[in-house]
Amino acid sequence: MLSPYVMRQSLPQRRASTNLIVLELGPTARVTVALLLMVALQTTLVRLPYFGFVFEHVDFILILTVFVGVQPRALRAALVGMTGGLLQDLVWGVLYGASGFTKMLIGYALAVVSVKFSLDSKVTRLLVLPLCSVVNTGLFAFFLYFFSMLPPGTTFRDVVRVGMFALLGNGLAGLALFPLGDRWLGKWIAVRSTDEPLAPRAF
Amino acid sequence: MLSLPSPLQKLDPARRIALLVAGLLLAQFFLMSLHARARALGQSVPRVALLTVLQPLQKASDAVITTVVAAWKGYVDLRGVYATNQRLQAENDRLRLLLVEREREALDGQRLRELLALKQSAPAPTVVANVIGGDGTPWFRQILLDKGSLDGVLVNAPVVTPQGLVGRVVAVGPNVAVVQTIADGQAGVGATLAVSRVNGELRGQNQPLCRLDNVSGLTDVSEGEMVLTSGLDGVYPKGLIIGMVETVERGSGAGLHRIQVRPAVPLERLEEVAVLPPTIRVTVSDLLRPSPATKSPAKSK
Repeated sequence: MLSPYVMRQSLPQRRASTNLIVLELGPTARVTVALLLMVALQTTLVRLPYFGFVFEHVDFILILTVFVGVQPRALRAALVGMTGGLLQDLVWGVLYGASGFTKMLIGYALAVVSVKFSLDSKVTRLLVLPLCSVVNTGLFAFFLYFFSMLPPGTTFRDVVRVGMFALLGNGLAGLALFPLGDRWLGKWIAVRSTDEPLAPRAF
Repeated sequence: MLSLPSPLQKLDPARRIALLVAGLLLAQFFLMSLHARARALGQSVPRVALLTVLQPLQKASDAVITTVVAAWKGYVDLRGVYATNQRLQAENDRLRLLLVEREREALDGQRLRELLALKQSAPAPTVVANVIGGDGTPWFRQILLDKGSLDGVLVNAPVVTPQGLVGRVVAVGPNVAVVQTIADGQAGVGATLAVSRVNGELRGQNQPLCRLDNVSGLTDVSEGEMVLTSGLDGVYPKGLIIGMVETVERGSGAGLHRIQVRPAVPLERLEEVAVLPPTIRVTVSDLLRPSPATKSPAKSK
């Protein structure tokens, strides 16, 4: 059995090549870049003519949180969810902390459950994503309602409608984005079987 | 290296993480409480800092999307180009005539202001900005502009296009601004019906149509009637085009009409907007105040 030290050493280290500019980023930097990219994409794809409205119901940060959360690394998943959610809250500017709270809770809960049940298979995570999407929408709407920030005239039916669209949108987006995530983040995020599932280090 | 307090050291890593997560969740709940109490819609240092950092990314991705869309429209979607061209030429001719009339009215207004000796604070110039993003969520209707305070954009500045009113600036950074459109569920605009001259309150619904509230059931409102800003909210200048009445559910004598308004501006397809200076505060000069009694030349001798 390889020791954790040897296994960490076997991962590609950060380096720059002089032949072709290739900068291999560490997992923290990759996740940070992914978070910023997701937030930027979320605000620009909605402006596509004819199809932009579809992206209103796709939550890229939630998809990233689920992607990270299906690995049994609780602190990492919680921090990714919290950071991404807070970035979203800052962009929206309506209720700081609401998205951070919901996504942190979802990331942490997923990671804890994934200790007992393997959630990181390609099929399972596609089933988990819609469920998390409904929870995310419900919790977020609850916080808006709790702090009287819900748009006037919003009914429970509107919340259900938004939740259903989010379930569909996120599920379909996950089909495309999870394979991309596997390529960009996969080997950095995947947890080795010899590591402790709830080790205190973030990455 | 910092060491944990001894009670925490006795816990296993899983419990420590659970405590940390619980603490962070609680902190975020307090953050929500504080922000909800402050009710600050947009302008905050962290938000402005993040938007400033994101602006180049958004501008780059928006440029890519715009290029792809332009290629599609330019080389693939050629149907109706001639008809659109003809329609636009006719509209252009009509607008040119209107412009001449407006310029004449503006000159009259300028002359009247000079006569009344009204003092105005120096108005900021109108800023033309590109829309580089939306909020990407069904709960709100905000857009992002690629101009900010360095270009003269101010908070609460009205945002318009040639078709009509878009909304107002709610947050501004050095190179980015956030605009709450009139379709946002938390937006409100003082409105006037163009024909009946009755005032109401326009409310966004996070939908394509807005709602015009507080219009008496006794008022005669017809579909297709234009809705303008009333200027009574102190944010939007009077007379800007908001949209047209789409549907009217007529109220009884004691009740109110339920009016749906379609914005004149296609808020989902905005490209360029103009940011006006915030509503100008006008002060009346001392000449118009009652002056103290002056001695007549005969008495002074």
